[in-house]
Amino acid sequence: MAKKENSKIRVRFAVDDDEQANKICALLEALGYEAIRDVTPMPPKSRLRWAVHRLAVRAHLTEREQDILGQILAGRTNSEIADDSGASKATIKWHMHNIFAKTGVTTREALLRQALQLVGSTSHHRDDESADGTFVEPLEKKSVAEFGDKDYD
Amino acid sequence: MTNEFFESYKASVAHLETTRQAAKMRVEDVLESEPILVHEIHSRLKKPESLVRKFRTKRYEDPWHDITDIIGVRVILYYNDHVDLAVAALKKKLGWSRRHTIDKTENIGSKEFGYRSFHIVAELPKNLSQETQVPAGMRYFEIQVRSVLAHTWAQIEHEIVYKSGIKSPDIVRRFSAISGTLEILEREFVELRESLWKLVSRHKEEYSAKAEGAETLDSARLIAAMSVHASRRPSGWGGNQEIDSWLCFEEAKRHLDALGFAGVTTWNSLRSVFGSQEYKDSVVQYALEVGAETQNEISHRTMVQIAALTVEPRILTEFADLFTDEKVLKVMQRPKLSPADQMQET
Repeated sequence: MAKKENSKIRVRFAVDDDEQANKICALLEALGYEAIRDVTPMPPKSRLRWAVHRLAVRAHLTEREQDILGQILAGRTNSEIADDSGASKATIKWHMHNIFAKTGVTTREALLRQALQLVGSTSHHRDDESADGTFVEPLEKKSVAEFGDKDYD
Repeated sequence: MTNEFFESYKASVAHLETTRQAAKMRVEDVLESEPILVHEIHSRLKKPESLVRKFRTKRYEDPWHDITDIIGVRVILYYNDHVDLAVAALKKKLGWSRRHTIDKTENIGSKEFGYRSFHIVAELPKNLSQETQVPAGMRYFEIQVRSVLAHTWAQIEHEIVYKSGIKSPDIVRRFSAISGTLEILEREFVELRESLWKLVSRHKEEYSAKAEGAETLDSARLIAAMSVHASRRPSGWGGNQEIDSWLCFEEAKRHLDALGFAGVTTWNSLRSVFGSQEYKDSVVQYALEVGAETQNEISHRTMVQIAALTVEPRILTEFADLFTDEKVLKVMQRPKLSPADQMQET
């Protein structure tokens, strides 16, 4: 399955193992193709891990930056990351600044878009509820929970 | 109509979840660049059950378009005065609907009290990827902004008044009284926050008058001393990336810990590090590295980091978290010339 886009041919492939996927990507890219791994069958957490890995390779992110990127794409805020890791909010902000500079974007939203572009899903799975390559567990408990407020629940 | 709506809701849940995440990020992206202390940003997808309730009371031509809070983001801030700043920034930077947006405080008269909560109906992030598509017609999401105190009040009021279905005027009145008290507390919190900066100003005057300091540094003293030492940076910790003023103290405190580890605990001892040749060489190297024209472009943060590392290289591992600027590491880990080599060079 290959389709032409932006002069580079996009090749979609599906494989379970991250390491194998890595090799396939490296090979396809060396041959001048754009490699897109189909993540449809994977659970959101594995999709996220893969997208972070791909972004990190492309943008030469450090390990720490990679870790923070993963948390950001999973929907966590700077303060939450700071509180958990014992770092200061300013430190996380600095890391974010570096991540933005390396990935060439300036917002989280754009990072999410990049990450979603890097993972693919097949269109014939469209009726499947989790077919958009999302990194969020569908119907995640907290996000849909009753929030104790008449204007918000 | 209703069934059709719930069918498409069910079919798009994954896309809605991803879009909810993007909407939350969109809000965070705006607030990130503002000097605002955020307590929490929460987001949720409206539950089918609460949508059913909506359908029971109202008719919708096009529910996806007309129900603007299917995706909701709630921003809770520490300080009341930041609520206005946040609302202004969000309205300025995001597309929003004038028709749907309500300011709940507009309805509060001078003799009434009520919680301050702002609702902005903003444009939804769309076309996140080829696969992520929200139902046609869906254009907006809702942002609520309030302070921690207002949030607490609203949560408890919701439990006791709204959910219980009680109509007792006495209980409603007592809730109003609490909200009046909260107004006073909000103001006091803002004033306490500002008083930290008054402390900094006082220390600044002190240091500029006598040009020395034997007192043990605390974060207010460090910020003051640094802004006297390199006065071009008004916020105290500016530089190649502006650090929000509310982050200054936390930042200063962490750097103070590193300085303390290096045995630098007073302005006098920090100044003597700044005067050393080794420190000066490193700063010149750093300026070359970042292409800074003058040393005035180097942030206080960087200066303190270089000073601490000059005295005690072990800080690099002990306080690894501070060093987010790879160039500082590069400069401080450069091979040092021995005095003999330096002689040869000149």
